[in-house]
Amino acid sequence: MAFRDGEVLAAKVRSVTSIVKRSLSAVDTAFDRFLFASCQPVIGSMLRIAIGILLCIYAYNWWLDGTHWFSDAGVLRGTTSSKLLNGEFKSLLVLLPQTPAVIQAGLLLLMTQSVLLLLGVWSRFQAACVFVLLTSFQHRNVLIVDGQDTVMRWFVFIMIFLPLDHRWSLARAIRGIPSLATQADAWALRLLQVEMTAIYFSSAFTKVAGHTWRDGTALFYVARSDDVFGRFWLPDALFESPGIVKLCTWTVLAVEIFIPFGLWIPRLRPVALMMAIALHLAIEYSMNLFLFEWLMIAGLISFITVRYEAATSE
Amino acid sequence: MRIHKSSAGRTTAKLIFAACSVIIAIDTVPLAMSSGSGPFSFIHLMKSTIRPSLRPIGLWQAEWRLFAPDPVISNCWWTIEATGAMSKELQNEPRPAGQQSPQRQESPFSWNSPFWGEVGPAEKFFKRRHIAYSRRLSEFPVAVIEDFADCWVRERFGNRLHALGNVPLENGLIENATADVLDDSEPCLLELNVFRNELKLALPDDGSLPTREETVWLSVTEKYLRRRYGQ
Repeated sequence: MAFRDGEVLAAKVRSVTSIVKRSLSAVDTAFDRFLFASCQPVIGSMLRIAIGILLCIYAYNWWLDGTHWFSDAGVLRGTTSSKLLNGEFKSLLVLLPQTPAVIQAGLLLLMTQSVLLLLGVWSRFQAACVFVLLTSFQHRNVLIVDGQDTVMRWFVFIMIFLPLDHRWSLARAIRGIPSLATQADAWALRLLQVEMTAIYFSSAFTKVAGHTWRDGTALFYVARSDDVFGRFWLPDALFESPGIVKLCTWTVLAVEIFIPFGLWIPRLRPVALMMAIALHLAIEYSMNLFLFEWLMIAGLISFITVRYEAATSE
Repeated sequence: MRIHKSSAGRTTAKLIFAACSVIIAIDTVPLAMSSGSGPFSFIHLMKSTIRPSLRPIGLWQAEWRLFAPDPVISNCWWTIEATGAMSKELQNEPRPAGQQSPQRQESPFSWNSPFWGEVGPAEKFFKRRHIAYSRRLSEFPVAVIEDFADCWVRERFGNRLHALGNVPLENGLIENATADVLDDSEPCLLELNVFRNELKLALPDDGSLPTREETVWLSVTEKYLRRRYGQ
């Protein structure tokens, strides 16, 4: 009796094990398809160009006031910066004398590697070096760093894993070597999509916690932030009528909540992309936020599909 | 890294993807959701556990708090008032763009950082870092404001002057624990008083939204540093 019970139990265990194995195999296959069979390498090259242009502007902007922000002759001494960060944020600059000449040389290197990345010359190597330089400079002076610096740093980090030189690469054109990259090589686009989704999600749900977003008056306060708002002309009435302010505030909130979900639902993706681009262009028109909106629009490239690529090379 | 079917490259890619996704997911959960009790307290714990490891290598996420949870109006600018024998050399200094008030010719010499609300879009684009610096300077310890004052002096006097230390503030607005101890043995040639000015929005009692013309701004000035320099 006990022997038969044992056999039944063993059969049940084998059955459950088989189901678990099949399920895991199915998940693994789906995950493989998700990661290695659904992203186009050409998107990596498009991202390289878009982020490369922004990176050049970003680096040039730093270079203009580099001595002021990052050297010991500027507004924050290296010793103060180190004390401030309590050793939590590492920077290669602490290993060097932080003189104006060294800082200018470092920023010149950053600019050069940004240009080479844009042109597609050993782009992944450039991306890795740019990531280290960006991190070092951002950690050197955290007073001037905000969300867009984090976006730039993460985008460049993810680009290290992308086939950036698949298309429109100067190095490939000179050497005459075609790219052999396949969909499997573009898996890091999924990581970029995760990062973009996380930003929208975090931003939307932080806003939900604010009472001015819930009561619909948030945009009134935004419109009174004279240091960042009012880039180009907008009618004052837009931010003075309670009804219109509420409509605009809740529309922004609804769009921000919809985007992270809409981007992952294939049928809603085009709508979500259009809404996201419209939102960023509207903010770009009305506010002075440097490169943040363009960076986000560049990040949205990771969600698009290019038919040309599929038809010609894959 | 070329990714071939069933290669070690695929496994590595999967591991990198999984690790980075988890990092991003945990580190971007809004603090408003992850703090306190309930199921999100676990995420808060995870966040505080992984952040120290992510910061040194640059893989930390920011708080995505653009105008959230509520927009913060920060129409501010900084003023430096200089007194002492050396301040006379400053009287002919050209006024920076966007300066608030006409330069007073009598002592103390007064300098204002740009009021960004009056600066054009092109300059705001190129001076984006200056705007961020002006907004955030008051959030950091006094040592950062000391560096700001020292840089201001260095830009005008080169290396002719060096800091003697800080005079304690009467209002005790800032934490002076890390400030330089004043060296009284050398004569003071220049004394700087650093102020932060801010226009705060005064809302009507009935809670209505005022028009731009009707908006009342309260000007608030706080002293952040009193610092002396000698030769």
